[in-house]
Amino acid sequence: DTFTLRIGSGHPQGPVTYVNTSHEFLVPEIEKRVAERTEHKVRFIEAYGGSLAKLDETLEAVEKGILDMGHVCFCFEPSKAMAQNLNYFIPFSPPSAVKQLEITRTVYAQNPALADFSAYNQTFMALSGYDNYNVGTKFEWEKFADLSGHKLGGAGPNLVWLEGSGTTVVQTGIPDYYTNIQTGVIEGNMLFPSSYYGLKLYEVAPNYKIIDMGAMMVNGLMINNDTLAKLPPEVVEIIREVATEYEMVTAEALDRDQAAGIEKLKDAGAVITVLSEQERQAWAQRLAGLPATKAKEFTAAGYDGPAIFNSYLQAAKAAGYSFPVDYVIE
Amino acid sequence: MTSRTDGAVSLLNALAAMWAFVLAFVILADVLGRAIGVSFQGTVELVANSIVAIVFLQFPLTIVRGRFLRSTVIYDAVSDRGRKMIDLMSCVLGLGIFVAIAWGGWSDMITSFRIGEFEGEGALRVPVYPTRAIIFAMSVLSILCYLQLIFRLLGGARLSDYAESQEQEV
Amino acid sequence: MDPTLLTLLSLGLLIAMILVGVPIGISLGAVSLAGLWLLFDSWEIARGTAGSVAFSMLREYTFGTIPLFIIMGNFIAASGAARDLYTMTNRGLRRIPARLAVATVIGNTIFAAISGVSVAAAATFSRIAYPQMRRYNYDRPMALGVIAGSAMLGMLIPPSILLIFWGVLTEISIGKLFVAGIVPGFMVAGLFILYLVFTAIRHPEKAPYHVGEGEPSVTAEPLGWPVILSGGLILALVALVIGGIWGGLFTPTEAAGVGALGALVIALLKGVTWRGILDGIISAGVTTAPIMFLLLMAGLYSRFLVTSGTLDLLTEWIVNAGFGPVTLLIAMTLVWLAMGTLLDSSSIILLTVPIFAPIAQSFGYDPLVFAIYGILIIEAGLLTPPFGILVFVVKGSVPENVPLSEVFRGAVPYWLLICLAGVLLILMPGLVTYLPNNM
Ligand code: NA
Ligand code: NA
Repeated sequence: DTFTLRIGSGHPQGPVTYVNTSHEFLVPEIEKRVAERTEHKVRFIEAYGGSLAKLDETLEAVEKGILDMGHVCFCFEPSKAMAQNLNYFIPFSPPSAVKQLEITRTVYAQNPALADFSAYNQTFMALSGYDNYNVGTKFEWEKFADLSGHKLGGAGPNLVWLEGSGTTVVQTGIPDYYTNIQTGVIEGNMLFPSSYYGLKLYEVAPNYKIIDMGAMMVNGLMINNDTLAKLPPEVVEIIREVATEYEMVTAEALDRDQAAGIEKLKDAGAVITVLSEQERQAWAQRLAGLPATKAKEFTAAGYDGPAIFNSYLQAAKAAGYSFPVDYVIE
Repeated sequence: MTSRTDGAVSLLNALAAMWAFVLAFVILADVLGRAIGVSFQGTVELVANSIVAIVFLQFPLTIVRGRFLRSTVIYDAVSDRGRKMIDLMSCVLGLGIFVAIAWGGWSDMITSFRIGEFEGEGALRVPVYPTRAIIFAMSVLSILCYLQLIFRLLGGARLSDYAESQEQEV
Repeated sequence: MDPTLLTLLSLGLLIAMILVGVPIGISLGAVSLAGLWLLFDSWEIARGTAGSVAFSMLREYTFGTIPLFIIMGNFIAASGAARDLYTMTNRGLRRIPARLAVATVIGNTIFAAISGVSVAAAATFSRIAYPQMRRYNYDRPMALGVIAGSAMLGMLIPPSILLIFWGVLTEISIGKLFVAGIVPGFMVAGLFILYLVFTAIRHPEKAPYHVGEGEPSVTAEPLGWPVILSGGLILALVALVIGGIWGGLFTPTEAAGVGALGALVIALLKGVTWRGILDGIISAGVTTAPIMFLLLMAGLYSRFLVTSGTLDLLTEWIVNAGFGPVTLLIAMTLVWLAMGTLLDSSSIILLTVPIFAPIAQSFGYDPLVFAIYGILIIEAGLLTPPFGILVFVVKGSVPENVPLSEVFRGAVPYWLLICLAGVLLILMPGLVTYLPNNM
């Protein structure tokens, strides 16, 4: 039989890595392997860029079967997928997506509640996300305290990193960054290199400071449970297999895009600097209580908050990563 | 249409319109706050969720006044009977659309209430279940408005006269 | 059922329903629901889609600008300041034929620097400019057409959300795109003005100098300082808003809120009563809802089109048809025009640009020229029957009951001029590339 599957994401193809690997790897590999190894065929209809479901709508679309498969950005689902945003709440975590993926995957393995979306009629298949967050600004700065009094844009969970910095935080969506920086409503933002380049923000805010806030594995590839039940087992097996490979393919692509993004930013004339170790430490010190605070919120939302954060810290330690401060969660 | 229905849906429209106007002050407060270095988080979510609620609060009046945009080239040329048929078809289809919206949004609304669904992070978390509830309630009200119109049409009334007679009041 | 066949059937049904006089939004919604039901073979998914679209389609900060700009338009209209500004224009520029329509084009060019949303421009000018043109007995299709036609200027003159989408999808510098849009923007405005002036010379009755019968004659309207000051209030508001945006005080979206409150101040200064203010707010509600319903249902229809996969097949066909550069451009143009009547501009860009832009470049079209050309054609689609959304917005926003056909008729010349501008850009790419390459 031929099965038509609709796959979608809120982000568009082109500037966003996990969508590119979806189009270039996930979709063709599933189609190819199903055709080669089974008597069935799978044909995908790809609906990226929110054409079938917007960023904050994807989980709901997969739940209802509007999408058979969807890339859900957990940061747009703060109430349905709160704890899956854990990377945001452990500041200065590994800048490499591959490393972040390995650590976060261990957390998922030790805390199965994170991968349980049965309440929303869908199954978690793979983890993906974004490369490493840094700070881009119109003005030059050296110390964390220099940010005070400036207006920075942001959206979603990354705003918590600026708490206590004395900056005025302006909520700004991705399409508005450019104009808002150009006109001066904001003087910069926090964004990963690939998108900072893709959105051309260096044209209006040329100072890009590497702070290594960490790569963010905060997206899930979901599949609708009715779709899963309808597909022949050998097809499901291939989807699972390719989804698992998609995780690493995407993480490696993120690391490549991160490096390429910085190179392209340099070539385009952006001024790339690195936050001094001392200042990074000072910033981390201010955010040292964040994981503990969030662990309480996770617990209130029905997860085992401390267990999740402690799994993470242990796995990071086991992977040989050391944080600028010691986060303590009880 | 009874004047009581018309009064009720007009009131909803007026409330929604005032709500839209209040958003202008919310935005101004945000702009002024930023100028003195204070940021109110949640304005973006507040405006976005408000706009959906406002629009749905205005649909019942739009329905009873027959103000949805349409082409009247053929409508104006056909007989009275033809016009009634077109109106009846429009009302039945409109009814179907709001049934789909209400029914299709019902379980999302229930989930939303159950988990206390919110949007935004940090200082201000904007709950989204009121928006979902308003969409549902206003869809149900729209269904009732359509039922009343269909009832009137089947009873021999003409909608066009009614719509025009009300046009000037606003 | 075969998805392509279903799509074609749905299109035929839509056109039939709309012609017969079923409201456009209801036609779009009903056809989409039926189509989704057949595609998925599931009423549950069809209604689920309707529920999701109802919740998320309009849940954007930018949609807040539509009711607020309409409120602003109502306040300005009620204050009489718009009347004074148009009186000033009419008396002051008396040598220029069709001066009020010309003023509307210029007004739109200025508004373009404030707003990046065509629908907001169309709705605002329907409230402010239309009653004034009608007061001077301007031909109705001319008054309607100039408002619908010039609403697209905001997409070429920065800030423009469409140019940002384009830049993000194609890796072109957004700064360059912004600069690239300026000359074509002014060129299109210039073409509109030339057209208006020539029409008025050939048909002076379409743009008369005098007000309608039974109203005070023009010469009886004093052009004293009170009128000039009052008309100047609007110019001051515009200056404040543009200054505020480019001075970094607020965003283009926030400008709608600031503009509405500025217009409130003007209305109060001009002695509008609180009752009048309230009326302006409430009537904005009555105008907003039909426009938003249309946007909502168009969103549902676009989900149906994407779900059916027909758009993929269409673009695939164009890519593989083996066209030469000119045929290719014509094929893309036809797709954009067709989609423009059905979908909103940002969806069209998201759906087509990642595929079209690289092909066009490989055929030797300059990426900047192709981008500005694309924006022109997509916006022209918004004026085309049967669904051209700007036409409906104008019809729904003008404070008078006008036949839809008159708005479409009025918009035809602007549609032709926009396409002409597109052809000119392709023939003379320097119009687009000169500024960005020499800055
Ligand atoms: Na959501
Ligand atoms: Na603009």
